[in-house]
Amino acid sequence: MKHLRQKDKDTRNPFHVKFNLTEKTIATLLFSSASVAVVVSAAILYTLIEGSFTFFTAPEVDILQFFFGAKWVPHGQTPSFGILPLLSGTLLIAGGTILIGAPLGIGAAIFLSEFASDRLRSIIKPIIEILAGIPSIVYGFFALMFISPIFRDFFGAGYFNAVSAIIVMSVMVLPIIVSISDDSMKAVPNHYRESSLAVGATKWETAVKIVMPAASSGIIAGVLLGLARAIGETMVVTLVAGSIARFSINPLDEVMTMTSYIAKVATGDIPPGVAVSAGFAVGLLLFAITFTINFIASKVVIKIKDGTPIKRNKKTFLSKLFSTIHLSILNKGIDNFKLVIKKLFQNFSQLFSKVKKPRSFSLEARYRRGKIGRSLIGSSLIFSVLFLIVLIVSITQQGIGELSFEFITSLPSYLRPDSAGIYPAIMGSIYLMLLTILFSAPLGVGAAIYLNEFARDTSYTRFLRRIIQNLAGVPSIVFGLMGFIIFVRMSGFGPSLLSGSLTLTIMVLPIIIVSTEEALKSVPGGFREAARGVGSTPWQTVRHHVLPYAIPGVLTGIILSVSRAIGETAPILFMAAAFSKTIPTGIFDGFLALPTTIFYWTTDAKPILHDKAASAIIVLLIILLAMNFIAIIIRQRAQAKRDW
Amino acid sequence: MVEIKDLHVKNVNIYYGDNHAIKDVSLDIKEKKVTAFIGPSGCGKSTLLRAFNRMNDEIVGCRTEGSIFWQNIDILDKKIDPVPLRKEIGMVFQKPNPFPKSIYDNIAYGLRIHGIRRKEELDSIVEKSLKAAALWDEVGDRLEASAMSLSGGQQQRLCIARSLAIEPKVILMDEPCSALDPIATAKIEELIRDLVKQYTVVIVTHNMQQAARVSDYTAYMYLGKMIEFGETKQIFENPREELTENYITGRFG
Amino acid sequence: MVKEFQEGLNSLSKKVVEMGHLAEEMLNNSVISLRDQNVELANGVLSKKTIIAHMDAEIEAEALRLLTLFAPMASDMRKIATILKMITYLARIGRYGKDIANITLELADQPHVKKLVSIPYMGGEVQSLIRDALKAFEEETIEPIQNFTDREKNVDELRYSIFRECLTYMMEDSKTITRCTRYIMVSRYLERCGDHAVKMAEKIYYMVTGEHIDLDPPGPDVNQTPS
Repeated sequence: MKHLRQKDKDTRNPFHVKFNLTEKTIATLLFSSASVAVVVSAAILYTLIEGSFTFFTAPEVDILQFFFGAKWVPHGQTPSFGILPLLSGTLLIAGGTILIGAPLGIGAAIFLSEFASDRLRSIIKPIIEILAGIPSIVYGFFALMFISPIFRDFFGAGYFNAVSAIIVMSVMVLPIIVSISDDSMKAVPNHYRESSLAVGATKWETAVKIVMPAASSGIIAGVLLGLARAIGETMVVTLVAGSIARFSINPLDEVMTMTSYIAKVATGDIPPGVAVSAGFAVGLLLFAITFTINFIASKVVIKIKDGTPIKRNKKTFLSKLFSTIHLSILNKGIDNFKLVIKKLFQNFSQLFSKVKKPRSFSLEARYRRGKIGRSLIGSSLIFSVLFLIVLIVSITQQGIGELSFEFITSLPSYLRPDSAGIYPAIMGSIYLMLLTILFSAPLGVGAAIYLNEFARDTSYTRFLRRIIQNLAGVPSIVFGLMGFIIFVRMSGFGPSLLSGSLTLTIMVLPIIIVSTEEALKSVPGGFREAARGVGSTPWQTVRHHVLPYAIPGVLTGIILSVSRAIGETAPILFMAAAFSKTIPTGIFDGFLALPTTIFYWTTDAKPILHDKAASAIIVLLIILLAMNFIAIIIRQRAQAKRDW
Repeated sequence: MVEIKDLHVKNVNIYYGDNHAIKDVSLDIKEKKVTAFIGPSGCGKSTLLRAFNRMNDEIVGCRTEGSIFWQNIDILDKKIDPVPLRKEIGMVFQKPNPFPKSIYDNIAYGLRIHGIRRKEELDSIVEKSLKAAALWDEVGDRLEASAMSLSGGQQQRLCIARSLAIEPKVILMDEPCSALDPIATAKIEELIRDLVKQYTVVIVTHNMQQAARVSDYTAYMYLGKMIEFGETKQIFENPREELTENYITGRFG
Repeated sequence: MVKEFQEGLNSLSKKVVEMGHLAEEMLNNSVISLRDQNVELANGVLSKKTIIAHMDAEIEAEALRLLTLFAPMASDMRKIATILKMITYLARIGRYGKDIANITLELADQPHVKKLVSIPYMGGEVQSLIRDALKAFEEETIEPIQNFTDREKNVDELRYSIFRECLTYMMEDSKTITRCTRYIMVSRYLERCGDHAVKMAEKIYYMVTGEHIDLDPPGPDVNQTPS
């Protein structure tokens, strides 16, 4: 129809689709933002695989020995790269964490969901949020300075030991387990509780025998996510658990985990060569493990939402493959797992009843059991609250002495550590934060707008969503590896503010996307319909009728994501300097950051620097508090103004 | 003459916060008879029903005054523990809500709670209850199957079996058929006429025909008050109160 | 829904009253035709018999339809139950009217004995019973039927007296036997109509008050007469 002039085309059909350059451009931009996630994932995989390739093709390395060898000696005359000791260290610490954290977390969740009054919930839930917001470097510091000495003095542990890491990490994974378990239990319909009460059960019996089993899928998912978090944790284990790669089930021993080896590579403690590329192989294995656990957990979460075994709606070839192979195995696995637990329980209680005097089922005995149970789980909550208080108080005590105006405004010093200050570190962190916001906000918000307002339910969209979900579960040290290779080395930015902020951007991207999507979803669909109904284009609808109302939620999400980024140490461990006397003036300059400075001071021999690390932590926590405060204010003011 | 096995409701008032939901209701529930509460939505029938097994205790802000005398005890007395009371007065709810467990475990749950643990005993009571609920023939051979795999009518009968297992004396039913199709409803109504030989049944229903078919006594409630109470035949043939007549003939509203 | 039912019920009630008046008219006219030996009037009554049968069937069908579709309760239910009974009684009354009209035709060629004795008077009494029952139905009150027991007794006694009177005539003069036996039959028919009117009144009483009443209690009947 090219020979028809535009005018003629118009007169024939007034409704034909006009080409709108603005719309097309914007749609493309948004689509690109979302697809950045794919690029990022590819970059991560590339980094890990390329590094691993270098490693596995080195002459000293034998791939079988890597997976099955029992000695990890990266340097010396006869280096040996058997991963099993590192794996053992990771499993010991992660296993111990879950062993303590899961009962604590599930117990706390039961209390919150079934027994706490609304008022108590409104007090406890924010405390759990606070626990979640404390950066891991702070937990690591607390473990090294306050927990470890207890085990050294009273239990004969070494300077580095696994148990201090385990204790502190149990509290660290608590918020994850508590919030998912609490959500799952709150989602159990109330009429189950009513039916249970109606046959004469007590509240405790109802909570334990009806609500908990009904929420079991969600609880399992929460524990799995906590496990993945524990496996991927870097800073705590690096500070506290040590660097001797060995097999041990004794928590008082010093061990090395996969993550602490990679951290050692980052801090330059490993001589260049095959030992460094070994870090990538370790990173690849770590990535694979956490990916698998997160995958299983996410499938279980879908199962809760549907209430039925996992089904696929659209029968594409890929999904058919998925559903027949993975999901049926998964379903079977989950059901079998539950059956095994049930059988175990039954056998155990039968054995028990043969050995012990049979349990009384008088009313008093039932009430007694309920009281004991309630106090147990109540105490797990109290433990968490106490932990938080002790943490804050002891760090404050240690650091308050060094906290002064000079501290904040002066420079670090090797020669006179007593007068070291954190001015460059603060500025570095602030610049990092600003740059991160600059990069991550448009990308994240754009991606979220694309996904929520423009994307149709195609296989690519579903793929995108899955990629983003996976990114959210990647251990932060792996981001560090990726940032190092891609930004510092390949792009040639060097260890600069640019590299650091780009790495952090990628790390917070999934969080911003999720929180922005939530904010967009909270805008009623009716607004969009009305806008489209008067002839607005999709972008006009979003820009004028959705975004204005979503802005507070979007802002809050950005602030909260970036506040998480500020506290992160592992991603910028490869790039931040250990020491500097200058403030960065351009984005290609090197930088100090608060969390890394805290790390280096904590691992220094001089005790005065430990105190200063505590002071730096106080500064960091105050900044975090301020940012969260701003976010809450924005959210509350938005709620007040909202008239729908 | 005050029959002690009857339930004597005396001047019961129930408040949700400031809302006066049940206004000074008194009536007698006769032993081993079916009593139906009818009335328009929001008249308080379910609230009144739930007073009998103290389920209103679970609702924050709900206050109950007055007495319900049963076997010389005032079950509304705060000193009476609702937990053992609910073993004697069972309840079946509007939406069939079996636990997400097997058919067997649904019924065994109440028994295990109260201390019956031996397999032989559990097996026999489960069978007895399922037979009493007219469900045994349909599910007796697949007790380990999930309760969620049953149809709505079967699930409701399972819930009835679940209540019967702990051997209550009174069964409360809160609109037990409103979520069911006519055939399932008919089966449950037949079951009720059967159960009444052994149990006292109190049923809340918004379906007047059902109340007429199934009950021996009917109470008509409106806006929290009990307007009229009497033998079902009399209420539906020749009601004394104009309000009752208007509701029953549909001229109401 | 309720409106549809109420409208249906109202129009049905009107039809019942209409049928009642027809039955009343048939009975009344049959007695007058007998009294006046008016063959034309008698034929008029006879011609109405299909109409009343038709109304019986029509009202019954409509009542059953309302019953099936609307499952009425309380006063509505009582009204339909009453209607179903009433049309049976009214149909019978109409049929007795037809029977009396037939007797008119039979006796048309001969003059009456003793001015038809008290038959016209009895007819009038029965007619007033029917009319009052219909009035009670239409107005849904029990006032018109308050004294039905006494009036019914009156009708019974009238039949008895006619019987005895006819007996004496027949014993006196055997030529009057044909006519007098017919007169006894007419009085029997009229008494039956009275009974039907009383039964209607009982049903109407139930319809209005919901209580059952026996307006014709069996008492010590010294005057047991063979039908």
